[in-house]
Amino acid sequence: MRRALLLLLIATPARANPIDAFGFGARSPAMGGAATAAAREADANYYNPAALAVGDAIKIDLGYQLALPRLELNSLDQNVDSSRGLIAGLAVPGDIGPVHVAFGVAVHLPDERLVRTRTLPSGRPRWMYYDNRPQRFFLSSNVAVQIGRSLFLGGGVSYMSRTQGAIDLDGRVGYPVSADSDLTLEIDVKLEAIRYPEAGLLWRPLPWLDLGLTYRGGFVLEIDQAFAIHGDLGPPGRPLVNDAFFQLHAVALDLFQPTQVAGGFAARLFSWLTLTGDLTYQRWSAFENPAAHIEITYDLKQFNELVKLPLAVPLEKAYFHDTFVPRVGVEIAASRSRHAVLLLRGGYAYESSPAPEQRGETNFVDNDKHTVSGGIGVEVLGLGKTLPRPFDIDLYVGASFLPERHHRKLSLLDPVGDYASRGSVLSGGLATRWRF
Amino acid sequence: MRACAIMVLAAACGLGGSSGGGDENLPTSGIGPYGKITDYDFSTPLDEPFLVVDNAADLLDPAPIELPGFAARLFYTRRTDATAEIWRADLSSLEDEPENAVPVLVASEPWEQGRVEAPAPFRAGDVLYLVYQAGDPAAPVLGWAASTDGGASFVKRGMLIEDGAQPSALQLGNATFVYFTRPEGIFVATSIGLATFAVRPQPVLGAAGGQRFDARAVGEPAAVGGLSPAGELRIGLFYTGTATNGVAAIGYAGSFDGTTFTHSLEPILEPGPPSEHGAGPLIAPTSGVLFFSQARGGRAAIAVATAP
Repeated sequence: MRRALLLLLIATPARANPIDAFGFGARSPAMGGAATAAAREADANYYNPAALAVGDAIKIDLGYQLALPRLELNSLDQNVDSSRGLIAGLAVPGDIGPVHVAFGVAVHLPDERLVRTRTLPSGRPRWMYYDNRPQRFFLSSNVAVQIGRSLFLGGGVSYMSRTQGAIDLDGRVGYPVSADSDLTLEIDVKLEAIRYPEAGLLWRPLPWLDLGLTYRGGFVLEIDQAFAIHGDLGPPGRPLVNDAFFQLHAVALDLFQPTQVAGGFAARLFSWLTLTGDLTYQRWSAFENPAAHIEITYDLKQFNELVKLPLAVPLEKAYFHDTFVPRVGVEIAASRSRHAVLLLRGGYAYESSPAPEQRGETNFVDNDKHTVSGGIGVEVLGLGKTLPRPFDIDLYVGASFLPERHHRKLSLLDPVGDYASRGSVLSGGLATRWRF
Repeated sequence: MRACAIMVLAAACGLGGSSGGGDENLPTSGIGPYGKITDYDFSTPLDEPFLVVDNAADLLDPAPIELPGFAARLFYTRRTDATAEIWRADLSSLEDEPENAVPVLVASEPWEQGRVEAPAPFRAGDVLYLVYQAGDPAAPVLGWAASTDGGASFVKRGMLIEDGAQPSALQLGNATFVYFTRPEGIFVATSIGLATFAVRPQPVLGAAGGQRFDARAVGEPAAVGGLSPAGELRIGLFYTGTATNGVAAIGYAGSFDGTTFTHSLEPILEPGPPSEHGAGPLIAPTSGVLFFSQARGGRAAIAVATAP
């Protein structure tokens, strides 16, 4: 039996999920995503699970989000896929004896593909932040509890899936006429659930001030694929090799989410004005080169000596670094009447890129990102007996600007060469919230 | 314009990557590796990888430029037993035979000794210049000519450099780099404003020795380059390397300043026989087309390779 371990330059530089990339709902993204202390309702499932326990109404969120990137290398559009999908959330508060608790669930259901998993050469330039990341089903479920008058705690798990699969061929491989093969095919592919934790704390030290803290666990998803062929090699009845074997086993990094800790505040300075702010720590330094590890195992009997496999190539490190992401937001009650409240929202976020300038063999392209956002919300204060509880309609638009960044290769013989990256992402969403 | 021309050429070969998903318009430095074009289903009138063929002459030293209305204009040497002339042909794609193949420069000066060959075009402002080799191949010199009609016709400007062969020229701003071959290797002459040319006494690239593909000799440079997106100088040289067994292959060397080069360990086109000579690259931001000469039926003809 011969074995060879190949570290091929195949990578799937993809991170986290669409909610990490573009936020959840239409209220919080309108405020720059600064919602660790300001989230309420179903979006608390992502921003701060503890906030689920604030309030006493059952809330259902339904909406739609989309993001349209235009990302360029050397001023040429890479045609990076858009991300869009249905969002839904549920927050169910209640009391168990003297304890106020809540249960919540949130889901983002992409309408193009539930999951995209692909492996690409790590040397190929990729907008790593926008590759597989936004093309992913997201599900989060949480519970929260109120402690005393001013403290809320919450936590739960989010779910992702990893792919594990195997293709087996058994029988005879025709040679020299391949069409003469007689093989039986077996395919076994599994989507295994991966859970990662999240937890939040919300403290209301003053009637007008909320402070929040959220932890989101990091995780790594792998693609585990194997292809094996087992049988005789040669024409029927006269095999050149009896009981030959060949297997290719590839394990690649499909998805990486950094551990995140977000702290924030929400200050209701006036009855008509709320200011929010967040600072999120993201542990990108744990990100490793996601190149595929490929193990080839074979037994071609007397022909083993004729097979020459390339030596393993050491992979270049990713050299990502941790980041802090500041976000600020504002919400203004612009108009109030007996029937409705008109809310105007705005926000800004700055995400420094965790990726270094790509000077070596890898091309994990990413830029700093400035995001400005704005939105409008209408809180309808009930429609009589039919809908006695208020319901909201929120709309937001956001624009992210990725200023030009240069990647200067150290090697004069680099096949990609120097290039510049820049771009923009337009995002938007419409959501409704119903209280019962 | 340059990118557009190469995209037209490359489109015929199915270059450019898959659509969607962030895979479009991927940048490339153009250093390959290149693959010779093929036509397994005989859908073109060409004998791939050959693009320009003349059964009565050797066609050598292809040197392309972009051309409005066509994908590219190709200058090359047409050599017979008696003469050597510089011809041009226009290419609309890599699947069609070239059009308008005519001589564009023939020997007329005494110092040219009946031979002009190895064209090296470069643009400076609105003028297209052509540096070329002339004279006895045993004692070649470099001359130059100028064209104000895009290379349809040229007016000779005289001798440029004594003792030089197989030139290639590159214009960057008001600086001109003329790379050429001597027995010791590849040399460079530089000029500011095209007034005078100063030859650097040491070669910028020599034979590598050892067992490499360019162990015995290097020559036939083809310079490409410009400013990177960050504004830094990048100059590349495609060149022909000859191994100790006499097989010639095309390699690449890169430089930050145009005088100090790092060359590739392996050819950027297929190593081993048959020999390839005289690279003529057209590099676009997302693809590259490499013209070269290769033996075909006892004559040299011009063939094509593409990358990626």
